[in-house]
Amino acid sequence: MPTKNHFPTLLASTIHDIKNSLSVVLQLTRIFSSKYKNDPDLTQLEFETHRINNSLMQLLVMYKIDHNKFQADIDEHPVCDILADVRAQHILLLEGRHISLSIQCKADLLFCDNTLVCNALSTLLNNAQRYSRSSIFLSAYPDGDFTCLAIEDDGEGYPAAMLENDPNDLNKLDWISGNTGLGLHFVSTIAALHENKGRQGYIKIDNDSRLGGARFRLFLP
Amino acid sequence: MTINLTDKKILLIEDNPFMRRSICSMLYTLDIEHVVEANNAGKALAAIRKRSFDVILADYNLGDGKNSLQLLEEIRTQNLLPFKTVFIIISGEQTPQMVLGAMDVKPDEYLAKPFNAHQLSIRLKRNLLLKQLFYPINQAISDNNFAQAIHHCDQLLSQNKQHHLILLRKRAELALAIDDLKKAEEIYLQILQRRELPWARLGLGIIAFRAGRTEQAIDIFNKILQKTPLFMECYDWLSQIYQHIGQTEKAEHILLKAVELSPNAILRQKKLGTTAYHNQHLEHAENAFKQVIKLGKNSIHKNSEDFAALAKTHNDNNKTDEALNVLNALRNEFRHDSEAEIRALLVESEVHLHRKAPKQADDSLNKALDLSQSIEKSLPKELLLELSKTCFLHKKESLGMEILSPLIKNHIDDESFIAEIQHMQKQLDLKGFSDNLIKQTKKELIDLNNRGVALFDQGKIEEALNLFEDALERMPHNHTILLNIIKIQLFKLKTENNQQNYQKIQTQLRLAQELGIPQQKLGQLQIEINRLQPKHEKYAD
Repeated sequence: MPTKNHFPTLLASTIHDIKNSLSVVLQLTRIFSSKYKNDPDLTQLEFETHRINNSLMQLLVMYKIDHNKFQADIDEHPVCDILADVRAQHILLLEGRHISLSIQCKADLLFCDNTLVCNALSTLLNNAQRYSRSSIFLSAYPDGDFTCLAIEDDGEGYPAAMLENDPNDLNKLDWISGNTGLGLHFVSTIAALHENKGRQGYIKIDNDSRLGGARFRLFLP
Repeated sequence: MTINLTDKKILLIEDNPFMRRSICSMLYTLDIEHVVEANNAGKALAAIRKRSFDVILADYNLGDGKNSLQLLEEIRTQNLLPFKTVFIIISGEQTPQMVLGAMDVKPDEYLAKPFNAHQLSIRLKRNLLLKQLFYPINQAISDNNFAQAIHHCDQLLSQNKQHHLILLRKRAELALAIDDLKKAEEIYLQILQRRELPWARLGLGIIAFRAGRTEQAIDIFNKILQKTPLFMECYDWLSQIYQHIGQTEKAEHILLKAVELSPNAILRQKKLGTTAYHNQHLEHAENAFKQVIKLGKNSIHKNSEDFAALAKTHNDNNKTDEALNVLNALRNEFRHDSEAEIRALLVESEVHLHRKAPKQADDSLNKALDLSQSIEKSLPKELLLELSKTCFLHKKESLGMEILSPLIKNHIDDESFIAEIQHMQKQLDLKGFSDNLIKQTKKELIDLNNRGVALFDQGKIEEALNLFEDALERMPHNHTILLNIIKIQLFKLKTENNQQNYQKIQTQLRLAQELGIPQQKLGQLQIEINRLQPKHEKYAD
């Protein structure tokens, strides 16, 4: 077997292994949480574990895309199911941090890679949780030839420097800003993997949140 | 339709005790009480044999022994998985199915870890709902009642908006199963108008292939691969079509590409091995067969045939020591297996011939011949062909012919097998030994067919039936004869109104499936037979 084939296997099995550990860590955290009635330190621990998991998953997907070992698995999915999936993934965490998540689904069916879009929204929800005060609004609605998935929060909003650049333009990405930048890069890559009749998915960020904070929108054709 | 989880029976397979406990406690929070736990594939298999489950939830890695994909492969092959059962694999990666294709098994879902009870509940419900939705269709298919399956599918299509696409996909597959290419094409085009989806485009390629528009099919498959180079199923079809038109070099090339992308599909590796061997690319064949043996370790597809193939390839490649080593491994792995021993002896004989030891070669062959005569069950046709081939190699022409003749007669309408025989004849320079027999047998079959049809046209139905039934006794594997019998039985069913005929024809249909007659040749007959089904056996709508 040529050596070049070893790394992906190694990466995949290492990630599998780390995820096993993360699962155990999360489970232990939950056991302690129920014992110590939502200790904020434990909530923080759970949040960080989720972030590690999210970053790992991003890393793996990005690696595969770079090495042409990835392609979107497009099928038709009810948008409400996608939103419910994302909610399920974060519900325990949100409760622990006393952040309310409201969902409004005005879109019906969507052609997309279900797993990828859930991952993308999950990454964003993770970010939103860090910056929001008490509530997050997750919504979906048709927008011309696209379906828009939006996450709005009641935090401080994106810093002005971030809003100056097109988040779809990877060259202008501010890597130093850390996880937020990385997450946006990931989500815009995922958006671009969705294509239909010459139109490509894209993302938009601004501070026009109905809750007064940041607004992120993912447009899929 | 809502799904209630509380009464569901779940089999949880996980080797890590902590994880097992934590998933169990999640299931309890979902009010699921019937949970059976297993910590490896062996115990899981025992549980599955004992009772049926609504959900099988299995971690991908299960320690030593089989992983959960291999377990799934085994229970599918052995028909231990009822179609109401959801099979979910828990894995670290989110979409490993992307590198799998038609030759691979697929679970209903991959669930990425870590996950919580809410996520688990959503996934369980979603999959159970789909199984429930498709239940009547799958039930009808397993009863060979395609008319009913299509009826159910059409009905669901008119009612269900949320699962429209997946139902359309099923409807197209059903159309393909009864060789209704027009309907299938119509559906795929309808889907493609909404969205360019690789599987719908693949459907059009399959239709072109079936309709004999080979060039068009190749073009479609190639275009799909340009856009979605990880769509493994497409490689399988493309290599199959090249194989079909005799371009075995191209078939090998496509398989090689597919195997580079997805090296763990054992059946695809095996196909690559045999194709490369056929093309005399011995290095490629060696690599592929080595992989097959490695992947076969815990697989239901582990087979002495692959060890023999590797040994043979080594021998042809002047590596007689390696060949004998592989034969040792074969004998170690398949003790007390006469079929395996015959394979070993045959390759051994070739190795001795290669080493210019004719006496030992003869010994091995004689042992193989003795053994083949002493066992009661009939040997697979490929092995019999090997046996006859080795006889020819030893200049035992009459013995070789004795084995070969019934093979030819019995499998005359199995195109790829007859092609293999002709390929062997060319290799061994047999100068038309088998050609004459093939020609003669083909002619006999045509004569028989003509006589039968003539009798039928004259209204001598019973005589025609007797003629074919006699012939089937002489050639029990012949597809054409069996299809003729089914057609006559169908006619009788229409005209005589005798319930027993219905049972008879069902038995023959099952026989036809066992003989490997392609589904599309049976589908239309099945539909007609279904229409004549006795009233009390019909399902309520």
